[in-house]
Amino acid sequence: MKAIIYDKESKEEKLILQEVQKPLPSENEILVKVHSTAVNAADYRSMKMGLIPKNKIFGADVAGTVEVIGENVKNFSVGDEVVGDLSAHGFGGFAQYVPANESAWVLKPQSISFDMAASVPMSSVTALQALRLGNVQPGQKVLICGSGGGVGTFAVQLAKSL
Amino acid sequence: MSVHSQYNLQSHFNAEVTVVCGTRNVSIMQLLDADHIINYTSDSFVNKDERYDLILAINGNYLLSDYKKALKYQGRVVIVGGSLSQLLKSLTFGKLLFLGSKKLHTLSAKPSTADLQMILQLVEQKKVIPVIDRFYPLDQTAVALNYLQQGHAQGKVIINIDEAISSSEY
Ligand SMILES: NC(=O)c1ccc[n+]([C@@H]2O[C@H](COP(=O)([O-])OP(=O)(O)OC[C@H]3O[C@@H](n4cnc5c(N)ncnc54)[C@H](OP(=O)(O)O)[C@@H]3O)[C@@H](O)[C@H]2O)c1
Repeated sequence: MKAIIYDKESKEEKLILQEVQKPLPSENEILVKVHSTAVNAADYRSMKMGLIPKNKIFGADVAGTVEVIGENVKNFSVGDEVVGDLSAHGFGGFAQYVPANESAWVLKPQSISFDMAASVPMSSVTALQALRLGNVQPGQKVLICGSGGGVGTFAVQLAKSL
Repeated sequence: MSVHSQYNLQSHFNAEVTVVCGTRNVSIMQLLDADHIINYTSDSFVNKDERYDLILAINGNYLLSDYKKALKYQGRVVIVGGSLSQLLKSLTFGKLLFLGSKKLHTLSAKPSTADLQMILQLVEQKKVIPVIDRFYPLDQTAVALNYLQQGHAQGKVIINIDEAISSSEY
C-alpha cells in the first residue's frame, strides 16, 4: 500500500510517500481501507516532540471502510463504514489501510461523507470537552478566542446548539 | 466521570457566543450563527466592558490577566491551545493568578467514542456543520501539515486518500 512514512534521518522532507506492506489486523483490530484523514496539530506537535508512531505513519482522524476483521472483533463487519480518532491507538491514517483496535471506531452515519466524517473526531471532541470543563450553563456568555480553526468552528456550534 | 455525566443529548448549552477571529473568518462565523464577532485585526475584547461566564482560549496569545479581567464573578477560562507562551504561562502562573472566585482550567482532551457518536448525531441532524477548508491528495500530506501549521486554516484540512490513487495510478 501507499503510505506517508516519517523518516527522521531525511535531511529535507521527512514525510515521504512510500510503498509499504499492507498491514493485517491483530485479533482485536479491524483493518480499515482509508478514504479520508484529517490533519491535526497533534500530528505536527508529536513530530516536533519526537513522539513517532511505531509504524512511522501519522494521521489520527480516519474515515473508511472495514476491509478485514480480527478473530475476536465483535462489533464490526467487513464493509462497515467507520470513523475514529486513532491518536491513542498508534495513529496510521496517512495510508491506504490502517489497522486499529475496534474500541477506537464508531459506525459512520450513511448520510455523512467520508471527508466530513474525518473532519469530526479530534476537533469536535476537544471542543465539547472544553465546554464541559468550563461547565457552561444555558444562556451563559461565552467568549471563544481563535474560533476559525478546527476546534473553534465546532466550539461555536456546540456552545449554541447542544 | 462527573463532568461527563452532566450533559446528555437533550441538554442545551444554548450559550450567547462571542467569537474572536480575523477578517477572513468573519463570514464563516456569521454562517455558524455566532451572536457577536470581534475582528482581532481592528478590535479586541481586552479593555471592553463585556464580562463572560466562560472563555475558551483556543488560539491566540493573550495575557492571562486579560482573560481574568474579562470574566464575571465565578467565571472560568479553559486553556485549549494557542501560542506556546500562553500555554506555558497558564501552567506556571495559572494557579496563582486565579486564586479567587475566577478559575483557570487547562484542557487535556481525550478521545471518546461516546462523545464522537453524540456529535456525529448532531452532524447527521445538521445541527452541527463541519467546516472544511481544503483537500489534499495523500502525496501532498507534508504540504497539508505545513499549511495547518501556519495557524490560519479555516476549519479542517483533509487528506483524501482515494483521490491520490485515482490521480497517480489511473
Ligand atoms: N488541549 C487539548 O487537549 C487540545 C486538543 C486539540 C487541539 N489543541 C490545540 O488547540 C489549538 C487549536 O487547534 P485547531 O485544530 O483549532 O487549530 P487550527 O485549525 O490550526 O486553528 C487555526 C485558526 O486559528 C485562528 N487564529 C490563529 N491565530 C489567532 C489569533 N491570534 N487570534 C484568534 N484566532 C487566531 C486562525 O484564524 P485567523 O486566520 O482568522 O487568524 C485559524 O482559523 C492548537 O494549539 C492545538 O494544539 C489542544
